[in-house]
Amino acid sequence: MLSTSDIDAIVLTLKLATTVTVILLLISTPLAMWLASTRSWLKGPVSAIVALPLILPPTVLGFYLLIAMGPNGPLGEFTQSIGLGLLPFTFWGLVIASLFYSLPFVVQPIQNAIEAIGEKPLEAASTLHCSPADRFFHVILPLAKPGFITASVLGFAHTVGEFGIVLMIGGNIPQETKVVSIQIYDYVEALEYTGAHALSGIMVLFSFLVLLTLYTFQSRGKASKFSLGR
Amino acid sequence: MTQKRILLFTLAMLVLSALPRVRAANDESLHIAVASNFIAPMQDLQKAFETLHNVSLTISYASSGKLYAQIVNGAPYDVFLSADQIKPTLLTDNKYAIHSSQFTYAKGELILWSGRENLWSAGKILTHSDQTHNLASLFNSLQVKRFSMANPKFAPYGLAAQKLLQNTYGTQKPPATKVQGESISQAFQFVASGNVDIGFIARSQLPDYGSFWLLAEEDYPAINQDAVILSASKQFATASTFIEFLQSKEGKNIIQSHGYRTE
Repeated sequence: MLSTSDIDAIVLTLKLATTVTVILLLISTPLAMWLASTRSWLKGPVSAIVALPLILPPTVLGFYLLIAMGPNGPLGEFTQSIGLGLLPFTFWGLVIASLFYSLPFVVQPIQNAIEAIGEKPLEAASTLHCSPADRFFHVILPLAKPGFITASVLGFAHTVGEFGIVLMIGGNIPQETKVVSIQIYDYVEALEYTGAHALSGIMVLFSFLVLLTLYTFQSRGKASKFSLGR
Repeated sequence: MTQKRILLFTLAMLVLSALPRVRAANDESLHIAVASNFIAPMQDLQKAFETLHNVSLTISYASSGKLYAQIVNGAPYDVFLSADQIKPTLLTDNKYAIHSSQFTYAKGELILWSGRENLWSAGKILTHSDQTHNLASLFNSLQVKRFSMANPKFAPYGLAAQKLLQNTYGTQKPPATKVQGESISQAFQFVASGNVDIGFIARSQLPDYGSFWLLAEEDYPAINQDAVILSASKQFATASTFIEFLQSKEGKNIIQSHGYRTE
């Protein structure tokens, strides 16, 4: 039922989503911790920037990323100067784009979870001579675990569902930038509806199972419900 | 209080959207589905047609593949201007469109374009039979690293580019990375933003800067764009008037002025 190029697209999509999720967890954790605790005036602007991809059409993000990562854009000039060449139409170009695109889906659940802990447990830990690292690994991480799980699942799933940005900066290169959503688009444009049905069906099933797992898991835990765009 | 206000606002919007739409002074109107590569000429055609006949045109632009899917699923279009021949033929074969109405309204011309000025042999016609001015010599001279083209699977310009590459390189891969756009306008965008060196684009897109190369007509399959009147249309007579306008001298002049050939 699935062709080799379908399998290639699925493997590439999973590779992209995994890479993006791992990097996003590393970036978002400090960012979410800062947002959860800061009283700086920067909190508003930073929160707004993080949430932008929630309301911007992906074509806007894709269009600006294409220009920014191009030879005359600031990102493009930077990547060329350090010898990486240009990023559009490469796997790592998609990774960078997806980092922007999925950022709010990872930052916000972690931030919510950390805010829900409150200051008391952390202050208690400090009085027991916990170092900041100890506090993170032994207080924040265990208590905010549901938030981290929600963040990972949403970040992963949202990257799998990415389309508009990849369309703009992907260039449809097999095993490099041709992800499942693009493959489906190609099938529909070529009027090959059977191929489109097979992959679309898999996407619907996958997305449903992801959300089902998430909600089943959440109804058991109390902290950090799935909430976005607060 | 705020909730009540939001509710009132929503209700007001619903009522507004349900009001009958105010029609233009002229009663007759046609709904035309147009392939998005034909936006610019269509805008000129619309102006000319509406002045000539007392008919207002509603135009929906999308890729031919999307418009095809919409038509098969009951979209209320009267005329369909596709970017290829395959979709109108499929529609007439399956009785979604009127067979006798199908005709080629425009023929596309494939060219190569780079955003940089005065490059090697710019403006020349490249052809397979010419020893010096052919596709391979251009790619070699410019040391092309990446080139863009439309997707050959469904875009006629992409298919034409693919045939040219096959004629030049056979089963071997071209010496540069191929970047595929979902449409000819994306293939253009990739060159215009400087992300690729050169691209196969439509002559109708050619901007007034950079360097371009023509490609010999006999080297690639013809890019025929066909139009049809749809069977579901209740305005066959008006639709026919529009089709006739496209084939008239005035219509053809407008189409040619945008870089297309006509029959």
